[in-house]
Amino acid sequence: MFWFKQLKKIYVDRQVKNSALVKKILDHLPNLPVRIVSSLEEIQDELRLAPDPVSESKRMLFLTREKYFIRPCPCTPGCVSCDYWTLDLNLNCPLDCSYCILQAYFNHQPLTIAVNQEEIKKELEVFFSRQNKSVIRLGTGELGDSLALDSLTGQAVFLAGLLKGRKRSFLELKTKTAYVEPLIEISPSENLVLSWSLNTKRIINSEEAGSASLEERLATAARAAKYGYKVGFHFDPIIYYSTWEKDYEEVIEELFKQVPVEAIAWVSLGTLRFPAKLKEIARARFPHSLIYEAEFIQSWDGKFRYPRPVRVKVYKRIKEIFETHNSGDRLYLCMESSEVWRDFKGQNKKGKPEASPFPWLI
Amino acid sequence: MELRRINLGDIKLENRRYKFTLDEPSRKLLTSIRESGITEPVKVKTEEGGYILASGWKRVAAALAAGLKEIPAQIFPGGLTDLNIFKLVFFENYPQEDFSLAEKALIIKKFLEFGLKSEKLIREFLPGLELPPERQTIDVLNRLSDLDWALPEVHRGRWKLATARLFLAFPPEGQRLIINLAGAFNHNQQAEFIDLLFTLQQRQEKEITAILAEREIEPLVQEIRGKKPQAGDRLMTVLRERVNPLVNQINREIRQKIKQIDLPEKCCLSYDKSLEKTFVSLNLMAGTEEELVAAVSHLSNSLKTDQWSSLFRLLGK
Repeated sequence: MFWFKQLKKIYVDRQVKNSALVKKILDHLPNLPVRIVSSLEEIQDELRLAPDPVSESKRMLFLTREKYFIRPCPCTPGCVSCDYWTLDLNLNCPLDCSYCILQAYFNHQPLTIAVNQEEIKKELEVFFSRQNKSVIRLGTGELGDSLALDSLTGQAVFLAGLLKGRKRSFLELKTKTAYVEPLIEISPSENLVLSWSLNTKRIINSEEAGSASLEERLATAARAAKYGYKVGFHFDPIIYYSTWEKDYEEVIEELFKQVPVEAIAWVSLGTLRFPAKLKEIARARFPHSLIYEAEFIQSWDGKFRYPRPVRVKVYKRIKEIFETHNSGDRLYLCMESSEVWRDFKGQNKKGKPEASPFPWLI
Repeated sequence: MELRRINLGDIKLENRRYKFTLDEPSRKLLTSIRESGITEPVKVKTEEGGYILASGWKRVAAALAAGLKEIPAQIFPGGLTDLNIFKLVFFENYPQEDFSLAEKALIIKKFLEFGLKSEKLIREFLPGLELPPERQTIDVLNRLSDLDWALPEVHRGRWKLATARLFLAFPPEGQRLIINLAGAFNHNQQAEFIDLLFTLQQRQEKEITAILAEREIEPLVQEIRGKKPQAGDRLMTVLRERVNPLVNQINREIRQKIKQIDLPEKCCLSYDKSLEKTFVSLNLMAGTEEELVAAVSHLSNSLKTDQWSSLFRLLGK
């Protein structure tokens, strides 16, 4: 994997130095210096001295243990929540997208792998015993790419095994890579959804450093679908620029050339949004990026978003394109207000939003 | 430390080695020193037959203004390094002063010049200065401290680190222009002014000299230079419209439409100017039941016109 080359050092938490997964990872990366540490602070002290701590954090691998793994997805207050749960085995991401919230979210966090993944079994049992929703969706792609570290950790196959047979409980692995090899070697679970974040070629080239190309992502998605997996797509963040309409249409047309509608579990749409702190960091780290220089309003949650009329226009147009492929019902919005949902989904005769707005509830 | 009365003329004021405060003496301090002289000794170091002032810059400025010839001073003993003295001066001021970013930049620069390791500065001093404890902070503030011509405005405007960082992303000529115009804006406006200029510069791929020379903007710049600071508000309006044309246009249309609506007296209509919410709020005041009936009836008649539906169309645009 490309990012192995950028790794400079491995830190091993003293508590897990004898773990089998630590040994496996160290064997996989034999030429890197290894330091045993007693706490994360020791690594953070080094990161603080780096000229660009965010870039540096992607070059340091920290093997440790986590106490808890499952958390409710932190949807912004005031948005229509999709009741998602995050399953965080890794923290931080080797990819370097200019719009990534993790730049502002983490405070000197190296690429972190929780090697005590076996402990997730118990937590999952308790979690499922407490759920009363008809559909449960869990995903690992919230605090890092789901598959970027998978060749080291083998987490994808491990998690697929834990969720196997749990009907109406979906595990989503969300990625911008083209790495699905281990998953193609096991029998596909019907509740495992492999998802790709998609963007236009222009945005992938200029804003998503280290990620797979659009062609690679779609080819891999097509391969996964052909193998029997359900696949998902996330147009997030959608960037509004002069040729956005034509460019996103090209992506969607290409998507439907390669992936059959029946294989698609869901497709989310979300336009660019960010807190002020991210703008400050990203402007310094990506001086040539123009994505932060568009017209924004500061919305109810303090985040900057495109003005509502722009967002509605973008969502409606993308929905139109999906509808030409009879797949409008696969779409949902991520972190959007009820006003925007209403314009996007339309209203029923009583003026209420249409029922079952989420694809997995239909 | 030895306490002595020293001649003001023996202080080498051009040597600002230990100076990091940027405030001028206050009117109260001037009055106090004029009336009763300096009661709290300044601190100096002896050097080449004179004195280098370490702390007490405002007191000395006030003493000079009051025409004093002699002031009390504590003399640092020989053998103290510049770093020792600067630490003493820093900690003397630390409990009382709310340092501005410009002053913090000078503090950092001097600590580094006097040989303090940046690792130690990051760990031991930045948290106390309420700054992110990382090298980037030092890099930004060290660069800022080199722009001594900019520091008084950075100090006056109580800039935050984010504003300084963005300011430093401009080319030198752009930085000079910003500082020349910054006096026309208050603290919050200065940060927004720099942010708006940065966006326009990036979006239009133009230097800010070219942006500020544009037909609609240049006369306002001239007014500000001609000491007409009220032009600052108008310049901000123009820049905001340039950066946010859609929201400004829709807001203009909405305000126009609201003016056309026949509202009862003592009725105020408001809406979300960010356009996120598509509803209006009506605030209706009535002191009696009759007033309320009349107002509701007025409102009801007003609803028969199509002004309201076009207002809601605009809000839901």
